[in-house]
Amino acid sequence: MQRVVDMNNKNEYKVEMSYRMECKYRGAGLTHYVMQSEDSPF
Amino acid sequence: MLQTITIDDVEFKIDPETNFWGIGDQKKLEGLYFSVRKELIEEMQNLRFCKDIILLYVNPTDKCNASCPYCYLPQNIKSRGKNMSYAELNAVIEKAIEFFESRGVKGSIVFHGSEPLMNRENIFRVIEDYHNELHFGIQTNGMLLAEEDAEFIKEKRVNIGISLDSPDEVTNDALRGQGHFSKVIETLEWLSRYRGLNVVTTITKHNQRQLADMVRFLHEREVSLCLINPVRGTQKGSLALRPEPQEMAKDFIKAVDTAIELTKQGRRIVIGDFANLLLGIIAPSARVLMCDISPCGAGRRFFSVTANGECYPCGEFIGMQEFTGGSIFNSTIEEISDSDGFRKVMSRTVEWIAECNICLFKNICGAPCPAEIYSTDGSMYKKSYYCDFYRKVIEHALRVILRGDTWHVLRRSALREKFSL
Repeated sequence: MQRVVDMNNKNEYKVEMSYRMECKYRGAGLTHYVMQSEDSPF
Repeated sequence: MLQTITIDDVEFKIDPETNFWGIGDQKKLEGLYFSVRKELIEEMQNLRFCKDIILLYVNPTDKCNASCPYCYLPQNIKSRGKNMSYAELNAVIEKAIEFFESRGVKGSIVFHGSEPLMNRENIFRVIEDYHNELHFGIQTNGMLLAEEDAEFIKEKRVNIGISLDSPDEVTNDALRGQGHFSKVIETLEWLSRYRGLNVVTTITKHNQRQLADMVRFLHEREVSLCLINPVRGTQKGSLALRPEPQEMAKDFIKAVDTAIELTKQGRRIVIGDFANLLLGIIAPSARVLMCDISPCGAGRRFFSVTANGECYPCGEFIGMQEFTGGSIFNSTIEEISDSDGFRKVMSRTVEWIAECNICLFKNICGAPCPAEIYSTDGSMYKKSYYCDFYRKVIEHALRVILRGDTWHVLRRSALREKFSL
């Protein structure tokens, strides 16, 4: 995997990356209120 | 179309219509983008325009035992002093259950303020009666909570949000009332490690410098989730307390990085507002909070019911008669959500706000909050007062992705991958 070092922040960053996720469990998300449960992405 | 933004000398390519993002070889990214674009457009359309009420905020009382200077409720509502009777509350709950069941979902009821525990007996009674049919939540200042109440909340798996504005007693009590700090500390001990607990901090000029300390303070008390919300200027009192957005962003980002560092050391603490913006980038359809999307969730995913039964798209609109959806006692939930007042809010999109329409982050931030902008400008079709705050924080979210810290904010186990490069 290619990486680059940002000298200002001393961080090592991946230089090639893109991904998209979705909720694994039906019913999670979009509640406006934080309902914590095992299926919460928080 | 992919557009470019540079974060720490790294070029991000972003499509603001779908929130596709990537770094690296342009041709590879374009190849991936065009292969998933159609699916992502559909996902974003569903996320933004799906109308499906799954939660009601119910204010069981107009009464409050505090007088926070930034309260979002108009004084004329609070001074009515109306308490919902058990029969009234029960009627609301049964109407909600019937509606949710007709859609095949287990919906949610969140008791909100004024201070819901001023009507403690009735709300605990309906929780006892209906906790199998509904998810329940309580947003409280915690002042009236007894140890036995905390046990009941845990036993019935009720979500509870407790307000605390500062790790410093003097600052907190100046905002929330004498004795609040010490009472909340006691309550947090009773609810220690309870998965349904979150602590809510409202950012004002008075506590903005303390946000990172607040995160450390909560982490020491084993709180795993907090919400750190900018005060909304819907009332005169709150308007006067709004921080300068760019300065607030610096303080908020320090709090975010503090939470990440503490999480790396072994025990999680998450700032929900930031986690939600990060989800907006990497998993838009998994967002939990519905403020930072347009149209926002007001009226289409949830609405608010006042103690006299009047319905508004969101608590922030309470008292603005032009947005009322009628009475929960005289109308069906379908009629309320189809009302003209609700439709005004549900039709507010970033595309109709000139500055937002050309912004790379328009579908990550959503130009919140329409109620606040309407209060200050007389129109919802303006950019947010906090525009610069959101811009800085979203840029930081991209930095968090670059640093590989995403899974120190979000729970990977709750998500699945749609695609990756």
